[in-house]
Amino acid sequence: MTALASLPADAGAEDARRRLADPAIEAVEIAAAPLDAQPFRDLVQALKRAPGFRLDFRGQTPDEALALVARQLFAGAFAAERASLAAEIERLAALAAALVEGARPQIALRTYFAPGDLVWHVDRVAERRAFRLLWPLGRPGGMRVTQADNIDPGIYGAYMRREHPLLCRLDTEVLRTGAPLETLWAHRPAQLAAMTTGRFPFIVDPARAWSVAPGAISIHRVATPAAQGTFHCSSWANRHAPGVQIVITVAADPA
Amino acid sequence: MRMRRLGRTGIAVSELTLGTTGLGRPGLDPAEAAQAVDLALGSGINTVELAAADRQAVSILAEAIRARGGAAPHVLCRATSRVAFDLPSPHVHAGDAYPGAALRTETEQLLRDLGVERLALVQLHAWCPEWLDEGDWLETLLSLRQEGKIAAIGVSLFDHDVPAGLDAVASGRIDCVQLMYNLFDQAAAEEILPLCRRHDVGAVARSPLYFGGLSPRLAQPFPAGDWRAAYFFDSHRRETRARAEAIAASLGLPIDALPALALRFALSHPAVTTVAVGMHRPDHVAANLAAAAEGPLPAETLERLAGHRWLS
Repeated sequence: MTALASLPADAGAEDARRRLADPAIEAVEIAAAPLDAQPFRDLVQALKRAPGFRLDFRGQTPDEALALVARQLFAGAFAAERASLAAEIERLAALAAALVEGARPQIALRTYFAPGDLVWHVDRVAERRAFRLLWPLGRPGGMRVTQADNIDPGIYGAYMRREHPLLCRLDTEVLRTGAPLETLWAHRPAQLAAMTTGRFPFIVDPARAWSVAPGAISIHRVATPAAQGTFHCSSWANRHAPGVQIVITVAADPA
Repeated sequence: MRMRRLGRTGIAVSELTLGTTGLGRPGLDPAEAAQAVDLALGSGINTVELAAADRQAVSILAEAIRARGGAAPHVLCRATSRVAFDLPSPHVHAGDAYPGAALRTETEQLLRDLGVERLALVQLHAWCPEWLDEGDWLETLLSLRQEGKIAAIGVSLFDHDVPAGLDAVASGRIDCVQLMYNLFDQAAAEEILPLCRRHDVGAVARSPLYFGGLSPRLAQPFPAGDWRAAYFFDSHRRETRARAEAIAASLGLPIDALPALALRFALSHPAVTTVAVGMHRPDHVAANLAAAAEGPLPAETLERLAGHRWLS
């Protein structure tokens, strides 16, 4: 039974909320037009060519944040494309915000590839109800999701006790230096192989993993003190072509 | 037993610290564990690392202190988090994990339980950098230090999480940091240990034998009930074993010689104040004392061992 529900491009927050209310559904994917058909494709292609970075909008509107990026990287170019992309981010932020009452969307734009995403994990926040929306642009592989009962909790706990701090350090080093992860972890071939193949010792049944369609928008549960998060990971295919990823997190404590 | 200075506190601690985690492990003979503690304290080891919540270890240590009389050992205490978490989490506020009132209560209780006047160190485990400016842990520990109930304030870093301690060491607010340092995880040598020297902060190196992974012990799975049985899941155990054998082979040593080599490796870094190592049997104590007596490893051996890093 699938853990991934597909919705049409015009799906709204109510559609997503209804599907995510089903405990068997770990994530929803919402169809999106391919990058080549998007009015902001030239901006995205330019971002893909720039050195990898992560920008947290931190209260800036998408328009303001994209203007900042354009000033720093492209001498302020791509005005029309920026407006178009900002409008789409605004739309998705509103959609995500409608999933959690009282939540203010936290938006980030990421163009570097965090190797830690290759390992199955759940996202976490301190609030009691939360979701995360991902919109990958120009990424060849879609996010993979699986159900919690497909993870051996004992082995997963032991694996992450050993690996989590090392993965955090690896992410930081890749962001800071841009060095290839194959070089940084050349002394850890078994762990590198697991990232490449997706064969981790804690996965019960490798066949029970579902991939979001490349380019599709997805929404998944974030772990909170009150709720379990969705186990997910990135595809190795994204390692050399991370594209641009819009990440929108909505989290709040019920009133 | 050589002594080293615990950073700016000036306390002289033995270069080996008696690690007590697992003193209550299933299958261990409590009488033998008590003998090991007594032998360690009688052989010049004057420092003990202890989780305040480990009642069995507290009980064994209290009895050893009472029976031996004289000067009590320096106790390096790991405080108990009020929030259960598997991994360090910036989403857990320091005020929730380590509220000042709970730190005071636990410290004062431990002083009574052990029958000592002062703890050498109280440290917050699974340290998150965000905690440096959160909660009331620091003002509470400063008060306890001023009252003479503790001598030093410290943080204990989660396994392999050396970067988490950099800001705390440089801040001047802590006197000591505890971290994992062994042949597989040599990351501490790169940045934090030199930083400790610069700021005169003590460094407690733990897990020098990687939970038994740097010993012949790993030839067989751990018995059920021992937490390491889960930690060393099959592929982890096999890889650890293969890497341990490779280390021994690279130096032309039998695998039996690995624990002594691993212990001397941890002792070889000049910024390491003391190495906390579990000693649950008298023969463990004797073997560790003998290894420490051999002193630091030669520079060329250390150079060859650098190529065996795995968990950093």
